[in-house]
Amino acid sequence: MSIRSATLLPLVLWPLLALTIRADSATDAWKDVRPLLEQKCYECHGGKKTNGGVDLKKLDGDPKFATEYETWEKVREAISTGDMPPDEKPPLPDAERDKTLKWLAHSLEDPIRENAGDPGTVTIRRLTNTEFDHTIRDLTGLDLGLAKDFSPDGGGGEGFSNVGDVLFVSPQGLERYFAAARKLADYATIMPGTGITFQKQRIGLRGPVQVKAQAEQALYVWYQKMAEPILPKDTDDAREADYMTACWKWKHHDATGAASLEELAKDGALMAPFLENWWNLLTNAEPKSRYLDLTRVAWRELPGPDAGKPLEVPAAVRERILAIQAAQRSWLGPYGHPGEGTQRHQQDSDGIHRYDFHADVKGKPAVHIVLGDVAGEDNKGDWVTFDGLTIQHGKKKEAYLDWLQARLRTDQEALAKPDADAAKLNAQIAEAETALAKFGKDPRGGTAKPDAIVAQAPAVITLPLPEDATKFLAGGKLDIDGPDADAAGVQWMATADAPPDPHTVLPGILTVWKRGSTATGRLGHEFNVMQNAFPDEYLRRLEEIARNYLRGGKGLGVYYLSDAQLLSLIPGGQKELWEKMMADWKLVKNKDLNAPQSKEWDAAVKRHLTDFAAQAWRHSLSNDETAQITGLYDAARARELDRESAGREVLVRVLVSPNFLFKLEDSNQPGIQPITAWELATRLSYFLWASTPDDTLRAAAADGTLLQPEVLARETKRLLRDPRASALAEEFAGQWLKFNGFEAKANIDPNKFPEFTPELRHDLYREAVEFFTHLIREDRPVREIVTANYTFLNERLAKFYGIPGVTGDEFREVPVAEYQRGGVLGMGCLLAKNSYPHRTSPVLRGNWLLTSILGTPTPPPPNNVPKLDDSVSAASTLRERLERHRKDKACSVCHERIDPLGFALEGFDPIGRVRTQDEAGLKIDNSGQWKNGASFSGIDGLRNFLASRDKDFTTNFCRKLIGYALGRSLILTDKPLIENMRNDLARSDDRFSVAILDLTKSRQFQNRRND
Amino acid sequence: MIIRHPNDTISRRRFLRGLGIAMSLPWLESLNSWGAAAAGVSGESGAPRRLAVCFMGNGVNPNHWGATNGPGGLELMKSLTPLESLKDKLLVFEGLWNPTTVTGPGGHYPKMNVLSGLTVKQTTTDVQVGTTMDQLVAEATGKHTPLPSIVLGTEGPSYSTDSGYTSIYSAYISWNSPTSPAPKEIYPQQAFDQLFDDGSQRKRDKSVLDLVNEDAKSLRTRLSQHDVHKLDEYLTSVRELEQRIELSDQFSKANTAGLGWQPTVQAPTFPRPAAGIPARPDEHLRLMFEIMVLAFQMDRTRVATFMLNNDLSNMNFGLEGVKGGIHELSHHANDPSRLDQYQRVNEHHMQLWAEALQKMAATNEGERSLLDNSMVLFTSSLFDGNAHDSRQLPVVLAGGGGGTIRGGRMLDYSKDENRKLCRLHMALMDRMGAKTTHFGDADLALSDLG
Repeated sequence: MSIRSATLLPLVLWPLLALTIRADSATDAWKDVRPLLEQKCYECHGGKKTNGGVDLKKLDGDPKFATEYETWEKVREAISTGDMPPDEKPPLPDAERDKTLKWLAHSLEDPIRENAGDPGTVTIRRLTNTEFDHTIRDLTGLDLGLAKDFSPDGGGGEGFSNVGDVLFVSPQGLERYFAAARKLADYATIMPGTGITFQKQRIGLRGPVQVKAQAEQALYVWYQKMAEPILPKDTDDAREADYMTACWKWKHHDATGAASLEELAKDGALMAPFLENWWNLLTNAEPKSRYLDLTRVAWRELPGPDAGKPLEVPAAVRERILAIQAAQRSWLGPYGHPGEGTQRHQQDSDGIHRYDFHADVKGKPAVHIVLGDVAGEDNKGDWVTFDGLTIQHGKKKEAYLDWLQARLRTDQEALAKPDADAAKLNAQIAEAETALAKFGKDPRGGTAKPDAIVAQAPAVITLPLPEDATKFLAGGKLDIDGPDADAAGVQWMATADAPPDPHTVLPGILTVWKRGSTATGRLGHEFNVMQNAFPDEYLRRLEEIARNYLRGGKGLGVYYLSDAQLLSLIPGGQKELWEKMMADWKLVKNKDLNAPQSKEWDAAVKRHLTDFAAQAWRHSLSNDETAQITGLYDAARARELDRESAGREVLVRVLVSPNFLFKLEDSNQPGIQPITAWELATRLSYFLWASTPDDTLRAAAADGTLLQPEVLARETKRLLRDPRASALAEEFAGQWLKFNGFEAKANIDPNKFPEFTPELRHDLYREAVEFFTHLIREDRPVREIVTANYTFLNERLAKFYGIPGVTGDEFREVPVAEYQRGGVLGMGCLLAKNSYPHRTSPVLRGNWLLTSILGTPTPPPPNNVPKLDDSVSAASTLRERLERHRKDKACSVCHERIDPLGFALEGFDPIGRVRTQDEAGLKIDNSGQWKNGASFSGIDGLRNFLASRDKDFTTNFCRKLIGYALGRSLILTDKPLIENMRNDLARSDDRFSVAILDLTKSRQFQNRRND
Repeated sequence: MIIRHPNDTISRRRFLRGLGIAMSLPWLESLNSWGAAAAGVSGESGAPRRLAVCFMGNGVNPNHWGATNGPGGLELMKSLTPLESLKDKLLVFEGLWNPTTVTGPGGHYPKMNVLSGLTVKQTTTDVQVGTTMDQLVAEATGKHTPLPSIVLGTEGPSYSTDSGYTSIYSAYISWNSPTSPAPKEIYPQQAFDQLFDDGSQRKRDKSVLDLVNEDAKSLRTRLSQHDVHKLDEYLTSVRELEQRIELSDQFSKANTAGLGWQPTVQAPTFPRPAAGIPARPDEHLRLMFEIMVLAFQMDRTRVATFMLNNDLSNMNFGLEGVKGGIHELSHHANDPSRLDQYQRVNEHHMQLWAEALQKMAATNEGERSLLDNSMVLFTSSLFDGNAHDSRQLPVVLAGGGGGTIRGGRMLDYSKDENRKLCRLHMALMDRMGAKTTHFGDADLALSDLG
């Protein structure tokens, strides 16, 4: 009998509801059946004898189906199987038997079937502390864990915290809600465009300057973030020649057949906006810049395609383009080393300094100092003194003048010799004398230092070199004291190759001017034009785009992206954000607002606040609600609060409202009523996520489509796959199997088990959460909760379990069958949870298996536990003590079922490690046997035993799931739903989602009963 | 067909009136046994009386609990020896019980009614016991202090149901309505802030409170009677917060005016505790005791309850030589070593309580000490924890009740036919200015405390 009754749902847990509806008719029929029962049953089950604990006589006047349901179930089973009357008694006549069974079926089954799916009475539910935290996280993007300051929730219904009756509200609780809402509101920025944003840091009270700075900062950062993947990095080849070649093809598209710049970009794998920028740059003469002309004029002067081969780029064109590219790049500095070229240093040119320059001259007969006048710039005042002329032979240095004079002397002496090559020597002597003549004098009149050359641009000063010279070095200084110094602007350089024309801009060469002079203004501007067109550094390219909000979308640079270009290149959704940020900027940039602007701003904030309220309250706002929200804002503004502070008042108000704190459902219509789409969305998201509906679910609620079965099923599946479904692991599985909270506190004595560290506790908890999250999100079979041959481990936990081959902090699925792990039976957190601080407890573990896994709890211990025999305390081992304890009949009834299950897990110590010896050093005996029943040993035996009772397990799972989903205890009319879920699970390989889908489409889930 | 308590669909205040409890409302104070002027006040100094109830879970070791009246006065048994220096201020009761606790399945939950004496409803959802005596007293004395009462504990409820009961029951001894437990502070910092903050934050919330009040009212029309009852918890909370804001204004004015009796301690004597739960349980318990004593010293409230631990708690003090949690040890099965450990834990609880009482005794409030002005009850929901036996309960009362209680005695009611614990509650309520002719299952106050 004990086994059979164990499969029945415990009587006491069935609050009765619908059955009483049938009470009257049942009682009428009762009069027909009663005499037979009196005659056949009362002898053993009534009055003096109550065999099997069944006393039918006490129900003689009224069968009391409402409270005696289980008794009658037993009667029906006994009669229909023929167990009763017993063999030694005459059987019931068939007609009588059928009549009785029919009556019982009618009385017991019909009411359940007819009222199947009754929603039951469900008290409105306050958000649990966890739901509060999750909801705030999903509403604001901030996970502040505010509910840790709240009073802890307890459990009700089927053992879950989400039962309305046990979710209380108190003044202190309300005060905590206020404190949490205030704290949260202080993290919010409230802007006209971007709306309410919860920042990572507390914001608090802000002035207009800070508001403006934040809007500006946000835009700046946004532009940089968007442009970042698009712009060439410092180490990238910027492919100037390819862009110029494409532009050349476009220029000659009649010949080349180029279809468009976009096509050319596509063909050449170039960025279309950059190519467009190049085209504009190369084909425009404006703005004027002689530095830029070096590129664009040279490009414009490129020859066209060969008539015979119009589709090819002629080698000469290619060569010249590469030369233009080289010239352009020469400003920037070496690739990968941005900011080292002339372009960056130009701004430091002040004319005060002496600037060194040098040239490699190896194997060259002469060096040319080229003094340019920057492409025809007026050469007034372009006077430069060169000195320190030095030649280097390998490592040896020598003053150029010394060498020149020495060679002159040597040549003159050699000329006096009879066999001298007079022609050659005379040429050298003339060359030296010409060179020497440049030293020591100022062409404007007067003298200079003997070793200095004074010259005016444009000029090329050619100096002979010794054959073994490797390098020529010198310095130059602009004359900034002369009368025309303000007009001065020069470039100089040395080269041993063919000297460039000093009437042109010398590429890559510093322009020297007198700081603050008129020439500086003019040339500096032209230089900047070139610099902006070709920013020398990745960061500068970013910067150019990031200033767009200030410049209104104009830029000259080839890497510049206008707002339109940028928006065409970035991911969806970013455009809307940009529009919102620009809307912020448009208002906050103003120092003073005019009346329409002020109104626009307030209206925008109010719109954001009502949107927030609608989201937080999980429904569309009524007109009254909207008026209340905007009214509070206006009132706060009238108290001269700034817009943000006034908005925060509203946020607080929204978050302490019963509309937020309770999962409200309209309930003023009596009887069973379908819930609304919004209410269904809320039930669904709090069931699967312990959190608020997301945008997709809200959309399905807003347009009512969620009420369509296929949409509901689709949404249910979507939510189950979402990472937020881990809430089901922590809240549903965690509270059902009781590992919830283990992370924060475990009942292990840290003195006895110093290895039980907080990290380990955390890992053990994570194992369970990861396991169930996997089961739920991957839609694994429900039976794997018990039978899985895998678990989730990280390195630390694997070491603790003694399982090799797991490295790193990340949890991952590990096959563990051979290590006595897998599923909940081998989970350290559950083994520890069902231990005492210092020792294991087969009673706790066994009771947990009976209650939480099989759902067949034993009755509670008797009110007054009988005194135990002294022999119990004298027992040497725990097993022995429990065995002696079971000798007492009052104890054995239950402990015969509890203890053996627990013994099977004795191979795990109090903190969940595998062990072979107990504390006294005795060999572990992990075998257990139910009286007159199955025997099993160790985790594998236990697992097989439990698997053989999977009907109990599945029933209990369904029961718990229903209790969690509905937030109430189960009632008899839920039985068909359990049947339904069980059958569907059996048909679909036990997939977790099948149970969930059956539940969400059930009558219970979609309706409510109102009193 | 869920049958609800007839009174639980109305608000708490209406409930109290509806139940017909003769609350000593201000205009009725002349009916109090202790005279109009003296209601809830002790003696000429005007120092108020205070009431505290301390509770521990899982019962006691029956072999060493209790006291006898010897020739030289009270003789304490082993468990109570930490109270030796205070024994003249103690009444040790024998035989008091709550008769409703011996029915109902299970060894623990049905017994969690120590302060109301009413039946613990067997349910996992719509919990119900009864409004407890401390909360009824708080109704009467609350208008004099910033907080009507402080409800302290060290552990929250767990998520479980058992034998058809929710574990909520094991976590609360104070209920402010038959269906809702009084919220319990388990974090020292929050208990401290509750009591000693200046209320400025609350003032800011006033305008928002008005609005959410409207919210809740308009929602009532959308809800069934059943749900309105739950919403009313919220509404009551809103109203109480509003009243507290008003009260805190009054108190700050009264303080500056220097009118009336003034507590001798004016500012906290120890710093604001750190956030979270102290690592060691005894540290936690000591801190909560300190907060309770300070609340009385500063007259922030006159009513406190403190659950040193929940019933069914497996708190592990890590005491020398003690291996195991208290629930586990309470089921010692008469094993001598386990009994010894259980005994140590019992004495440890008494030691912590004694320390708090000594602080109260050392606080001078004019003609009497704080302890002499107070009534501090210590009890559990079981006597013999091992046997789940509640046929009598361990009950010790410390303090002089403002000159109304004569300590140093053991009062034995075990032979008395009417030995209901609620009779003691009635006697205490009377002294606190909340006289009633009927409370719980009793209608006659104990008369021999004085």
